[in-house]
Amino acid sequence: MDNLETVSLVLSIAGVILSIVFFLIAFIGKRKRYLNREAMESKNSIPIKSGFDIAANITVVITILLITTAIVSRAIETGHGPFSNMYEFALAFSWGIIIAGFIFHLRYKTGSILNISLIIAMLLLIFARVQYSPPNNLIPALQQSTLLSVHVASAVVAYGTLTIGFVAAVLYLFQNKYKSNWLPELEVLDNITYKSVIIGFPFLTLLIILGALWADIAWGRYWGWDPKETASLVTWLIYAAYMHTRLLKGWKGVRASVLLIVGFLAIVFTFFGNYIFSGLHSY
Amino acid sequence: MGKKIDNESTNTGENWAKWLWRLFSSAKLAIALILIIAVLSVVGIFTSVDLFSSWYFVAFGILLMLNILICNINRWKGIQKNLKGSQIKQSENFFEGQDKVTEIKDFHYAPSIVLEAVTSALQKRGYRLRSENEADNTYIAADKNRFFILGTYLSHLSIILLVLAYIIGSTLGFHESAFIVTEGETKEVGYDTGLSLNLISFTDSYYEDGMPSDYRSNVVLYKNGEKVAQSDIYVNRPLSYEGVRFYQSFFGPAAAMEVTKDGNVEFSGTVAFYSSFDSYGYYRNIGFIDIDESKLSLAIITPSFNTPDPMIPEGQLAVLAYKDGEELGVHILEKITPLEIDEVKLTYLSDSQYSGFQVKSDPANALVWVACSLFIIGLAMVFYFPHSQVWLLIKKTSPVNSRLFVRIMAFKAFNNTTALKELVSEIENKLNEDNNNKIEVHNG
Repeated sequence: MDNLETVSLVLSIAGVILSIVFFLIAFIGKRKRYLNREAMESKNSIPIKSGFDIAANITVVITILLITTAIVSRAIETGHGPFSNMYEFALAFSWGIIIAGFIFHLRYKTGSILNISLIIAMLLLIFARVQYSPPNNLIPALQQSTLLSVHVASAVVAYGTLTIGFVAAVLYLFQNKYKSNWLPELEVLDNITYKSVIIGFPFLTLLIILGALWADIAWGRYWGWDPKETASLVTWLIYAAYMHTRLLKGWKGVRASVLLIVGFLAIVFTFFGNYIFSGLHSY
Repeated sequence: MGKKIDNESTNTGENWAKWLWRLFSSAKLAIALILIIAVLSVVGIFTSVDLFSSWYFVAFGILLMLNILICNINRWKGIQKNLKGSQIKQSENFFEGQDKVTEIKDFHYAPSIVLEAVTSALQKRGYRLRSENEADNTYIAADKNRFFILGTYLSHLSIILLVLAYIIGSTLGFHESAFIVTEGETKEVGYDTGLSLNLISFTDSYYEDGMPSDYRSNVVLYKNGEKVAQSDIYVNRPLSYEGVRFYQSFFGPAAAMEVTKDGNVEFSGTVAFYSSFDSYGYYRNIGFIDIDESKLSLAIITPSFNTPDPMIPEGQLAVLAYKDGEELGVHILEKITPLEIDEVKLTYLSDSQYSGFQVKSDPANALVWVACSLFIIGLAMVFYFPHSQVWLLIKKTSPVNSRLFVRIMAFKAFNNTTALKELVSEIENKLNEDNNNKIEVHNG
């Protein structure tokens, strides 16, 4: 199991890199054909699916399966969900990001967003590989498998989708400035950022609520302003602000994108926070 | 004259109230408060000051709660309107916007055929339809998921409920963070609960690397002297009885001791070494025995777990005795061998352990779970069942021609343009399909 897990992880890193390369080749090919056609006839730009597009999609699916294998074999080995250390988190979150990116790609045909998400997932997978630690013994507080597994599952959905929102927000700012015809239209990007929050925000809420309910069972308190707790609250407040500015004040586009980028930085800070401060959440 | 002044002052009073109401019903204030609290929290993470119980943090929290409350009260009228459904009849101007949420289309079909296609397309999407006819015009207002907008109340009010639960919990409940019971001891909980907890035994086990794998207390709970519960308490498994919960929190060494004076037992029990101090680089644990009658206070000191101590040999204890607040000197105490201090005899009988519990009574415990559930249900309602409205006008332009006006307003989250395109193209398809079928039927 241990072997299978490591091999799957290493292969998944290769898979992600391969997907990124395939997407780039397909992308450049499309661009070339687009320019040629523009020169030759009209600028009617129907994206043509190249072989590399299909290959990229296949490698993405294979990568997802590989990470799934790593997560599942780890879970069989430890007997619980991926919640006991940074290695397990990183594995789970990279899985969430690729799945979310792939679903958004299928829905909106936005290869660029999937591609950048793949880069983020790749970094996380490499981080996981570097941080690899054999299954560690669970301290008593963590011996609450059901609640914690659901807690981490909501984190995977929330962080996965909100990462897509972040990527779309960054592309929005880029697109807003450079008006590149390589990238999706502003309206599509804006829509994707919104959809990502619509899916991610309730799960972010669930994540924090489950954490608080568990803290009460384990430590006898719902909330203790532990740095990781506080950081997650800050993240939640930023996304809450995003929702309210959008729904009540009609914030879209640039301002909304900036908020989303700040929100994502808060997620990153929450995730890596335990390297910065020591709290109960040193796991 | 005096009357007039009174009027003015009530007016300014009213104005103030209005101004305050307006202020607290503004979304801008809500957003500002959310961001201020977020920024303060970040500051709180990085500073050692306990910012989260500071008056200004609490004050911003209270302002936000007021803001949420008033915003939600203020929104009721609009929500009521949405629940009822909007006005059916809309002017043609209403359908002529530049904002990509309106569309006007001409069809070579009679209005009744268009109406049929519109009705079936909307019903297929789960819309509720209401229509009105007037001369050559048919007006339709359609909506779906209108009751799910109430989810916004569930979510926002659940925040208020959580705050309420916190207030109830901290005023009506109690929280004892270090309730220490030694093995064999029975200790009263207090707080008018009539409860006392007897620790029968404590066990701890460790992984190979020294990390605790499990620690648990086997306890019996008494109410007014009567046994009401017996169970193991361990982390993640508190014991709950009549709203009072016992959490396994920490543990440590203890020693069974006896103090006699002239052959009479003055003290017999277990001393918990629950506080620790640093003495010239050596960590030591300390516990106390007070013999009130002799005005004697005994501080019993043990080396900290697993560290050799130059002053206190392994398996022995140090005793620091005070009488009337004056130090009598330090003694080393061996197991079983009695030691005479002042007028008393002190015996160290055996080693033992103590268990530290948190004892909590939170009358609002259920409320917290209810509020959390409502929060999630509310979010799911608003986000995953978006309220959406469509207005249509079918205008008869000739007996076989009609003009369709459409305007859509889905929950602002969703891409109205796409939804509009999809709806209109479905209506078109429906019309073409039906028409082709009819032609086929005619041909047949």
